[in-house]
Formats: sequence, structure tokens, C-alpha cells
Amino acid sequence: MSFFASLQKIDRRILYLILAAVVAFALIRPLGLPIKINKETQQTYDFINALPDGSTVVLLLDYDPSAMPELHTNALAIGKHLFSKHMKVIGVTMWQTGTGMLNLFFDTMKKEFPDLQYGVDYINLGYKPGGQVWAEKATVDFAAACAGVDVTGQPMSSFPITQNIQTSKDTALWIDLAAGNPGIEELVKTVGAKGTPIIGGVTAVSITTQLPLLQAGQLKGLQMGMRGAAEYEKLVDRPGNATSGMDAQSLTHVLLVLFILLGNIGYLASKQSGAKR
Amino acid sequence: MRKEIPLLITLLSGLIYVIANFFNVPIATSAKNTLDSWFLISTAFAVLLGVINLTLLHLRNISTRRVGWGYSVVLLLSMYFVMIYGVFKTASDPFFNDFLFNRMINPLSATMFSLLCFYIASAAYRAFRIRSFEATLLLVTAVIIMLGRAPIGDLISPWLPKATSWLLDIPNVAGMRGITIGATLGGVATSLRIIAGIERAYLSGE
Amino acid sequence: MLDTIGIWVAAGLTLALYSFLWKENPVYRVAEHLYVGMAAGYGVVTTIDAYVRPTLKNDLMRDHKFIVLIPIILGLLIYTRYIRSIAYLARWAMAFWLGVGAGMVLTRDFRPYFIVQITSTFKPLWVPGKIGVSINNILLVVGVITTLMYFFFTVKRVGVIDYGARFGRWVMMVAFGAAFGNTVMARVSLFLGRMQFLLGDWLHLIKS
Repeated sequence: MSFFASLQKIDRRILYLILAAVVAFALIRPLGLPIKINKETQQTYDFINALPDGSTVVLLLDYDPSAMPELHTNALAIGKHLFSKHMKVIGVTMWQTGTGMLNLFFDTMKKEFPDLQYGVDYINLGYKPGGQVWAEKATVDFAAACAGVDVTGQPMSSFPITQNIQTSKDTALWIDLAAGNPGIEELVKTVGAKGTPIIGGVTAVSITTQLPLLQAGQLKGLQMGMRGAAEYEKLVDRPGNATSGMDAQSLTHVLLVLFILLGNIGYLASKQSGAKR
Repeated sequence: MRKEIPLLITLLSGLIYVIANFFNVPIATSAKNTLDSWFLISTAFAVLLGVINLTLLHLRNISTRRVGWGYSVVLLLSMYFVMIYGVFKTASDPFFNDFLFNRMINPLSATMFSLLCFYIASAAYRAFRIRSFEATLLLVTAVIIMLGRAPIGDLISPWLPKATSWLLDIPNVAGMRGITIGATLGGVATSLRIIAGIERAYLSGE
Repeated sequence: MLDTIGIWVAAGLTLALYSFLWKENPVYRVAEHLYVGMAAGYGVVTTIDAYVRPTLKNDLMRDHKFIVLIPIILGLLIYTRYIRSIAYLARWAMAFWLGVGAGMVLTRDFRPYFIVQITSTFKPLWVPGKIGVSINNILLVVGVITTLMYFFFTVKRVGVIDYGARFGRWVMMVAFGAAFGNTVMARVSLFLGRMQFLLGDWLHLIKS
């Protein structure tokens, strides 16, 4: 068997081990590559920064645990920014697993901002089923859309933060960190269509489909995956898992490009030697 | 009447939305708001559908002693334990949230999807081939994006991040926008067909 | 103590799933079925907490809003699919959900995903003094039009339509290439997260 033919038949488990080794090495011995801020992240930061302190913001964590490295990192960085500006944060989700994400988010924020008071500075409304229909209902009657209760079943009317929220228009901004549907598109069609600004955050998979919305002005900002989270962590000076993961991301990408190149070199060489015969 | 009543329900509920949106008729707007609430409540009460399907499927595996039926026992036991505990204690219970979700469901879900990274590595080596001009275009774009979006792109060349940004802002937006416009037209056409009762796929089968 | 046990349980489940990469094995299968079962159960609990419990407790029992019985019964009708003699009633629930869904698409999708997207494509083709911006705008407009031309299946592919459709195909290849590159980035991030947990929270080799 020629060298190139044998190159194409490498056991995939060797590839897996190389991948795991590169990631582990980069995490244990970070390279410290500088992270430049992209215009999309700067746009998000600037929009939130321009909001008056104490504004009410609805934060949706529409993702499951698999998207945590990309979206939860964004949530924590944005959360620091919001609470630093004393914003009132209403946490809600259109995903079943989002309830767990909201619990984790607020637990972390409480540790970083110990003076936060539940029901005054923030509230966790938990999971609300219905997707776009829920978002549509929220533009007409926010409390009714949420069945009038928070995640523990207590009435929303008993908390100062939600007492004066009749519709989505009574809020300054909706931030949706979404790993799929229901998510940003549902909000753009409903809440956004009624004039409330929306900022999106997506996993890298969805970047290409959401950029047209950003360009059309339907989103006021777009956080793009783990890179976006690392940039936001830099802007709010909260180095976290996204920042520490960027070096590993860089090396892994280089490795995968090498895999693609090697694979194609082997393929083209085999094709040529096959043609010669 | 078995087919007529569902068609009438679809027509009425769809029409109420159309009238409420395009005409200033207060009664239609009120009806639409009511339908929104009814949709939310009715879908919530249908929550057990997946659980029942899983139960029937795996009970069948167990009763017929199909290969791997022991795993079906694991599935059913874990599902009903989480469900019963959670319904009685609610999702805010510390054990439910801190242990069952954070230490079991969370890592299981995250790890399951992270396996994709390995499959992509294997596919990168064994399957991504430059077989045509268009495949080359796709692969070259992908490589530029992969290197440009990572911090190492700046080290390799200052043009990489710029090329990445340009590719995402111009050809990507152009392509995706065209696809979005086309898909929206298709979606609107399908919705009209559903409301008008021309699309009846949901009526076949029980 | 419970937290330490929890971290070890999480690490064990993570490694159990990763064992599949070496070879399919019973440990992986148990973890896989555990995931499906627990996730399904969790979904039910969150939905009951979100809507079922408040509707029954507040709307029905406390406020006596008996009108909510209509959507409750409508939702429960879906379960009739398991009883052959009345399985046709499940279609009523499906019909309602589809009617609402179709109504939503008709009234909500057109403006943001058709009209706004088209008007956003109306860019000035010549910006005095900014040749780069002008070229980009021309490429964007031509790209959108030719992508749409690719989907003209009822028109014969000759002349301008043919060239346009071919260019549109190339534009889409670039868009899909961008999507693919970003997908790779997303998948790598998934694995990164797990490694950060294993090396940080579990083995304390890195700060997490």
C-alpha cells in the first residue's frame, strides 16, 4: 500500500486522541493569544451601555447544556454588564432546559453581586411553553403569557420588578441567547415587530442565518458563539471560560485545517497514482 | 364529519389571526388574544405525549425481551423517577436542580453533543474532498472562516480576519438572504394551503 | 460533600459517554438511555410547573375561570390517539395548533423575513468616494438576486437566467462554506466545555 493510501486509512481513534491531546495541552498551557473585539460584539456592548441605568431588561436563556460553552459564557459576561448598570433583569426561557440555565445564571450572579434582591433587581420566571405564541402573547399581556407566576409558582404581581410590566413595550430591551428554535426569529417577528429592541446571541452554527437580521437592523447586536463571549468578557473585564478556551479553539482549528489538507493531499495523490496505472 | 370538523377548526383559528392582523375589528383581536392563551394552555396539557410514546415503545422492548431490553428498564426507571420526584417537589427543589439537573442531565446532554466534535475531526480527514469547483469554493471559504474567527487568525495574517468579516458580511448575507426570502414565500404559501384546507397531511393517520 | 459526589457523578457520566469513541459498550448504552429518560422526565416537570400547575391551581380552583376547561380538554384530546375508537378526536387538537401556527406564519413572517429583507437589500450601487463600499453593495445586490434566480425552476435555464443561477449557486456555496466553518467552531466549543469541566472542576488541573 502506498504512503498516501495508508495515510487515508488511519484509524479514526488516533485522530480522536490527537484532537483530545491538542485541546488538553492548550487548556493546561494557554498561549495567551490576544483577542480582538469584532464590530458585532462592540455594537452589542455599546447598545447596552447606552441604556439608562436601572432599565428593565428581559433576558432569555433559550439553550440546553450542550450550548453552555458558547451561550452561558455570553450570558455571564452580559449579566455582569447588566447588573453593573443596576438593570432590572427578568429571566425567562422558551426552552425546557432553560430553567436550569436560568437557575445557574442567577446563582452565579448572586455570588458576584451579593446585594441583588429577588423580585426587586431580578426575577426568574422559568420556562414558558408556546414559543412564538408565547412571545406574541407577551406583546399584549406579559403576565398572562407567563401564567402569572415565577419559577417557584409565586404570583408575578407580588414582585416590584414585574408589577408595572403590562406588555413587552414596558421593557427597554430583550436579550435572547438562543441555540435554535424557538429563539431569536420568534422574538423578531413578535416583540421586535412591536418596536422593542432585541439583541441576539447564537451558537456559531447559527451565525450565518442571523447576520442578515443584524444587517437589516432587526437586531441591535449579535453575540457570535464562544468568540463573541470571549470578546464581551474582555469588554466587561470578566475573564471566564470563553477567554480561557480561545487558545484551545485556535489550535483545534489549525489541527482540523491540517486534517483537511492532509486528507485532500492523500486523496489527490491516490487519484493521480490511480490514473497513472 | 371526522375530517370536516378539524378542517373547520383550522380554518376558523387561522382566519381569526388574519382578520385580527389585517383589519381593525376589536372582536377579532379579542378572539385572537384568547386563542393565544388557549394555545399555550392546550400545548402544556399535551406534555405527556412524549413520555407515553417512550413508555409504550420501551415496555414493548421489555415484554418481548428484545436485545438490549435492560437499557429500556434504565430509561423508564430514570424517566419516571425524575418525573414523579419533580412533580411532587417542583423544579425548584435543591436536589432536583443541583444534583439531578446540574450533575446528571447537564453533563449527559453536553457530552452527547460534544461527540460531534470528534465526528467532525474524522470527517475533516476522511470525507471533505475537493471534488469539484463548487466543493473547493465551499471548503476554501470554510477554512478561511475557521482560521479567521479564531484568535490565531490574526497571527497567521492580518488579512484573515478581514477576509472572514467580508465573507460573512457580503456573500454569506447575500446567499442567506436569498434563501430566507424564498423560504418565507414557501412558508406563507403552505400556511395559506393549511388554512384553506388544501394541505391535509395532518388528517391522515390517528 | 454532596457537591464533590455530584462532580464525580458528572465526570463518570461524561467519561461513560466518551467511551463510545473507542468502541460501543454497555456503559455507554446505560448512560445514553439514562440521558434520554432523564431529559424526557425533566421536560415534563418544567412544563407542569410552568403552565399546568398554575392553570389548575390559580385559574380553575382559585379564580373559577371555567373557560380554561376548553383549552385543557383540547390539549387532553391529543391522548385519544391511543384509544382506537376515539382516535379521530386527536385531530381536533392538531387542527387547532396547526391553524394557530399557520395564522402566525401568515401574519408575522411576511414583514420581517420578506419585506424588510428586500428593503435592506436596496443599497446604493455607487457611493461617491468609497469604491470598496460600492463594490460590496453591488456584490450584495447581485448575490441576492442571483440566489433567488437559482430557485426559478419554472423558467427555462438559458441565457441570463442560466448565468445568474450559476452565479447564485456559487454565492450559496460561499454561504454554506461560511456556515460549515462556523459549525466546526461550534462543535469544537462543545468539546472545549467538557474538557474545561474535566480538567478544571474534576481534576483541578486548570482554573474554571
